[in-house]
Amino acid sequence: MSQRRTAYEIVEAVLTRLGPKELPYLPQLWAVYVKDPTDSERSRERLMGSGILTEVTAWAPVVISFVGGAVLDAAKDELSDQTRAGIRGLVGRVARRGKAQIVEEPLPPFDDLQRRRIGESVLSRALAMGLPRPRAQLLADAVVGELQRDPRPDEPEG
Amino acid sequence: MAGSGASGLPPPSFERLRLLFLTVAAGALFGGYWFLVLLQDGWSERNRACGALTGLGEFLDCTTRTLVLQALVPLAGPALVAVLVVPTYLVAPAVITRWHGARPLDPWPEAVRETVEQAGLERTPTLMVSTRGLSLWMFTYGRRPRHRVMLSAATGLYTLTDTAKVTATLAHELGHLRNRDVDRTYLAVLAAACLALVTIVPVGLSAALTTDLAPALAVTWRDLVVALLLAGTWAAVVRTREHEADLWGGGLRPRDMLDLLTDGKQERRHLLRLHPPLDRRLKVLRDPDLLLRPSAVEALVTGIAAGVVVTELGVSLRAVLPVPPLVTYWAAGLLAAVPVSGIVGLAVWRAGAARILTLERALACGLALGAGLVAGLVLAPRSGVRWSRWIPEAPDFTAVAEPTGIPPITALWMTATLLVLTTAVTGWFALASRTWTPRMGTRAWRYATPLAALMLAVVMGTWSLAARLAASEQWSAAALIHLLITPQTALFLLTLTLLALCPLTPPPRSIRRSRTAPPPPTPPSRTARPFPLPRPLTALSRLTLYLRSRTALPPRTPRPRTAPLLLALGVALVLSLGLPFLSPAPVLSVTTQAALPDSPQAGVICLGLYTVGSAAAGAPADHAAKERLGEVLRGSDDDLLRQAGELFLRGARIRSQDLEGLAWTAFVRRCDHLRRYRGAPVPEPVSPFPTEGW
Repeated sequence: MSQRRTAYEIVEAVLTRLGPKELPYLPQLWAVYVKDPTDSERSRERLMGSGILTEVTAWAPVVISFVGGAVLDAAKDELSDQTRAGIRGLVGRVARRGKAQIVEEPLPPFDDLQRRRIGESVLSRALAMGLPRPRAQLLADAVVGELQRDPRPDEPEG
Repeated sequence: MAGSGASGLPPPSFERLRLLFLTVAAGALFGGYWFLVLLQDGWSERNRACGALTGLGEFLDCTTRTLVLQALVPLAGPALVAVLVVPTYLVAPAVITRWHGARPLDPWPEAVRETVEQAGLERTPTLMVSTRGLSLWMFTYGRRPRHRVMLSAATGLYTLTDTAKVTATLAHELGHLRNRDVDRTYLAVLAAACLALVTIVPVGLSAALTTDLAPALAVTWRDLVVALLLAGTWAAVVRTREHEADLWGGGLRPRDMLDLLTDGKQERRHLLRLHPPLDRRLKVLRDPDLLLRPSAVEALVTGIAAGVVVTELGVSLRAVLPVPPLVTYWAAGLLAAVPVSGIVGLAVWRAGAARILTLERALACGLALGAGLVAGLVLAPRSGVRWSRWIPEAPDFTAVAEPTGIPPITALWMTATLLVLTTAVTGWFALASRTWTPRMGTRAWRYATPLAALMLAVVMGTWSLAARLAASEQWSAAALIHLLITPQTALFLLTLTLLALCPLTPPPRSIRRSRTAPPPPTPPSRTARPFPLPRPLTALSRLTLYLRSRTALPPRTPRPRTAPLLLALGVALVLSLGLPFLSPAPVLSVTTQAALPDSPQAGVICLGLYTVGSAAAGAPADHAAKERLGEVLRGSDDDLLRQAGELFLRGARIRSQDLEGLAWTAFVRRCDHLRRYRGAPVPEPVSPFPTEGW
């Protein structure tokens, strides 16, 4: 029998594939993401800031925001019968807030179609956010590969 | 920064900050006037009480007290803005820290430590880490002397993976600290926000809710213009600071800063964009001279704000200061001229000192400043409208300068004259910077400012007073010249002009030849003597050659856009010189006394006053005219008018213009009281609209 993984564990596994040196920063950054998953979407220029959205080589923030978001969205779809396609505004905000509530719960198993959709979602979001295509493709492949991997086996009790 | 002559001068953002505060002051003054004078019913009671007094001296004292109060209470507007800004500014850093759940960064990553140490700041800032932010961002905040830099939560990771981007962003932030941007910017932002909160929005709402359509429209569009000016100026302040921070950061980390701007994307904007477009930032980073070029738009906005301030302050000071009106308006002009010379003058000076000023830019700035001052008169929310048409409490008889009341030819002449004068002043800045900087370095600016401010004060003050006289009493160009340019004022203006022209001697060739080299020690030669008297005219005649000699341009090749500006200036010059001779004989001559009413009824006498304006009193020194007017008033059926008539007669007997002026003031105020509070059959005044003399 195997144990289902949480979103954090999936993100951690993807980051292990892409940027293992960044793993020590993951807990802190995951906490930032969980606190407000929409922070980066709402982010605007700051008074006395640089006003520049820099393109960085670090993987951890990318994996957290894209993979975390896509996986949790898919999980929510699975957990809820409601579809959120096209939902905007207040309803959308409520839905995103719900995302923060399920981050600690084990995710349901994904079938092939869902895994492919998550991969496509990660790729399209990464490209939309300005990630270069090779990096975006690398990220999407890593996510799909990780989701296809067998869940971790049960740890022995005691 | 670029040209050596420009280093050491206040940065361009500083002058825009002055402009912002000037706009805030103008807006807040109007807010105070709207709420505390125009919309307050209590002034009626006070004025009625004055009108019930039987002695002329008591009446004058009482009405003067009322006017002084009405002039002073609008200051509550700026005071309220200041009261709101200061505590908000004090608590802002704590609020920001708390909102971000920030804690000090400890230990500092090596790259961060190196960058901060390399910056060599006077005080090391505190680096704070936010509990927010997965992307790379930083911003500076805090309060002098404890400035802070807030880092996003992920910055620690980025120092490992994207070190160059972290240090470039940090260098930009340290640039803000090095340029002392933090306190100024937060004060500017808070001042603008408070003005919007306590003036712009409430005035607009109250105009819509409490008055009729016509006054509501009159105040609303002015309110909107103030809001636009405020928004534009505020954006200019914060965006210019970003350029300056880029330049400083670029000095610290040239390659990294260039990469950051080249590879990065613009962050999403708020309602107003806080940062210039990236391509513009890159251009400025590669060519800092772009930042030093004076802007005609800035000069226009400065002119508008200064026009509003000088018009409003002139009216207020007229009620408060016991000095002749011309001196009062010069004082008001000086209060506005100091920031104006620090904005437009400094911009032109800096470009001139850096030798990047073109004739086109100098002309454009001068013309734009003049055009802005004209627009400021039209916009002046208090005195640009005759509020008494709709709001009985408005003390218009001391203040009104409705531009539509100015005869067209006089208006044309006044506009042309102002354009010529403001262009002359900006031209003076350009010449003085080119001639003084090689000799004295940047400290030359300190010596030039007082003289330039005095010139501007005289120009703006005289023009504003002339506009009020032309608007309220329809004085012609010739009449205005006759009245304003007395032998004493002519002597003063001549002295000022000579003082301004004398130092404009071209520097020695050895100094002029070098563009960027620091000024060598000046040998004591004939050409380098500081104030040789025969030189001013030579220097003036070389204006165009001087300004055209920008190194980057082919010498003596007129740029295409210069021709229309030169043409505009030429037309303005011709109009300002020619129109006084071409204008028809003034409808209301100030030299000939108008026919006086032949009736003892106070209502009829006041009707006569409202028909002929100040022509009822004749020329200022015409004591016989005052005697005739005194006789008419002495026969009036109103006690106070009779006493005013006695005062005219006494003044005429002892040839005292002061007494006659006092009598005229009493006459105008009494007629206004009769019209408003005593139900006397005095019609609503139309132009000419008598004011309390000049």
